[in-house]
Amino acid sequence: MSLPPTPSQTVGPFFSFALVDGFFPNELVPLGTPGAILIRGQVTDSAG
Amino acid sequence: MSVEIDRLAQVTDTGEPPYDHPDYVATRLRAPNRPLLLLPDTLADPAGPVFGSDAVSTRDHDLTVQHAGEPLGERIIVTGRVLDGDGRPVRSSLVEIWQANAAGRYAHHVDRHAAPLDPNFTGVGRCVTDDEGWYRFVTVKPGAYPWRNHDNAWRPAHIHFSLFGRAFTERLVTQMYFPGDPLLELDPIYQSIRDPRSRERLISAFDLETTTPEWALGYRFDIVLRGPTPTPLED
Repeated sequence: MSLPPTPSQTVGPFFSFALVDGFFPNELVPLGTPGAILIRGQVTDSAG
Repeated sequence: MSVEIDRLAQVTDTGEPPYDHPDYVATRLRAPNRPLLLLPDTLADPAGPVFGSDAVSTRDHDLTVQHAGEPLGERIIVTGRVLDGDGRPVRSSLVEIWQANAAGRYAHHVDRHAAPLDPNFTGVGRCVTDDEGWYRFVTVKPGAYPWRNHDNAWRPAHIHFSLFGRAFTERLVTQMYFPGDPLLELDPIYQSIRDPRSRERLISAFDLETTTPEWALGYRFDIVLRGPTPTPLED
């Protein structure tokens, strides 16, 4: 059996209140937690 | 242009909307103007993203009980299965939804549509699929709203879906529509999918079995995620 995939649609302009800001905070442990590490970086396209 | 891109370019329709769909005005600016770079499959971690079910509460799937009172509007149940291309259930996978309220207004600071906010409705829900790939939400039917893409442009009623699947290559962001909506024929976002069969897969089905007597209508919306090496569809 091979099922055709469900097509994608635009995320639209109103996603931030649902996904990024609320449910998945960028602090996975409380500040000051022993052993906590900070990960930061930069996302670039292929042209840098 | 690589051989792989050449091969993909020869496919008449993958079932996906094109990056540049002139009737959907925003795509004119954001569509890539250079050939895409294809990542080798080896970068697709089969373990995929893992979002623990412990972060999802038992009330998160019911958008009608997140505040002191019940939201206004037509209460509905939206349910379905998440499957892979071979028809196997995608288990323990996070499904997130967000939507406008019954008046067509998002609880988002950017939304300035002259329709009322509902203090009892945020419009955000999430759940994790069960062992058979089932998900289930209780919400209210979202309203249509204007969006200024063109003269007298209105979005058909829809619910946004975000799915992580089991690997990054299965990531899917899409929208679920409702059967019989007259705005579908006029909507450039929905119509950006060229193949009518692919478009129809975004329309939920009224489901009497899901409908709860004296309480809520039910809609069924099954979702098929692409695999690590999706096969483009050819007409």
